[in-house]
Amino acid sequence: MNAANAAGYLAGALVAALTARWAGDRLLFAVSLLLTAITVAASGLTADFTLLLALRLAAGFMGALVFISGAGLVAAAATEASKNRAPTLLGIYFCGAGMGIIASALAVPSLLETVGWRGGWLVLGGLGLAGAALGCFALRHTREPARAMGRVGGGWSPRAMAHNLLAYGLFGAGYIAYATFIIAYLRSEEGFSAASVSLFWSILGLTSVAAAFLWGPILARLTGGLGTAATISVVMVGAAVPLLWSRPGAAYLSAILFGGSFLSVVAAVTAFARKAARPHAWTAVIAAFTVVFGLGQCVGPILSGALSDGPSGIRSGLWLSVGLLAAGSIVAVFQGEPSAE
Amino acid sequence: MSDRFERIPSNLHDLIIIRREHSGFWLPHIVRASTEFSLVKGLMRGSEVTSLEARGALTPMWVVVGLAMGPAVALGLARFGTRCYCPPCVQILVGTSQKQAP
Repeated sequence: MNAANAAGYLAGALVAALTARWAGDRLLFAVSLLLTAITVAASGLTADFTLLLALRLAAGFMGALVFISGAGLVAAAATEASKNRAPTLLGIYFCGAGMGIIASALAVPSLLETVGWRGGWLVLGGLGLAGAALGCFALRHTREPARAMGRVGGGWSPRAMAHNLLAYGLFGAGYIAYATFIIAYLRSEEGFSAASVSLFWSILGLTSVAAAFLWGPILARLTGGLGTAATISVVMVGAAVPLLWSRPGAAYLSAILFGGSFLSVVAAVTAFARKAARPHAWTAVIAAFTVVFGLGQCVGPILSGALSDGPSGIRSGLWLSVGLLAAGSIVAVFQGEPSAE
Repeated sequence: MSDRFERIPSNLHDLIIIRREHSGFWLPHIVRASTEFSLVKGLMRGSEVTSLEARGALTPMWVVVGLAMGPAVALGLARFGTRCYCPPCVQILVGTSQKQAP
């Protein structure tokens, strides 16, 4: 299920820039956002595994289109902001994922006993449609990112941002391994109940929202790949904490550190992309970063899963996550300050 | 009396053109979008037009929050939120292969 979603996400990232150029970021954002919500709701209407896989694939595909086109719109909106405000705006956009996590953590577990798993999907779909309506309303007050007149490509150089691209791929592999296995780890190794898992998930979502405001001014001051390195470092510490201390408090500290930084990595990379490329290339650059991230997301769970099936269990898979994040952080340090000129 | 300023619609993405009325003449000014707020504010201190122009130049925060519904739905709900609720996900809780984890 996760692999299907990740594969869909990667496919969506691959076609996002071209689709945005053809349809425009605003139309792409609106259509794919509505379809994502509908796909989630539709998952509650079937118990067929193949159909569920197809829906997860579609949700991943649409999700990438939403994410990239929306990031392009916010990056364009941020051009009007001051140097310090721009990373905060991007952070607020990306912390939307945290809002979704909070909403799902609060809404669904309490309803599962009464409405069942199908009802859970439908509730998530309903929340998604409400969010999509709000997103489409806000869309009326945005404008299309600038497009190069008569040019198809250009405006950025993959070589100039190679370290950050590699770091982002390693982050994609490392963070998803944690996100995939941490719940199973807390359940099996720490004896977490469903309520404790829900609390853990809520803390993670809540801190990811708060972090947008904390990281914004910091990222505005950091040059080159230091913003990426700093945020990935905190994610790494968050992933390592529950492995070093086997206590419930450590798990919640992990949720605070991980939640308080994993979406800020995306904001840091996007802030970097804005500096490294001309405005007409922003959507393409964000898509390129998302492709690398998507590749990492596909590889991460496979590697961690293989390790977790070994004698050391889930713990070794989570340690791999820590290692990947450490590698990503180190690689990002070597990224120089870009110039779009 | 303060000079009057107006923003001229332009397709230039990272530059903003404003015009300033001075002694009966309209003089063009071109500024970078990233510096617009402080520059306009500095030039048009005390003018009623100033605050309106400066405020209108910035995308309201609620619009960005509205756009954040994109990641909220695409990632928060559709990706992370569903992680523990789909039926195959339950398998991990009863001991299936970790490679098949949700």
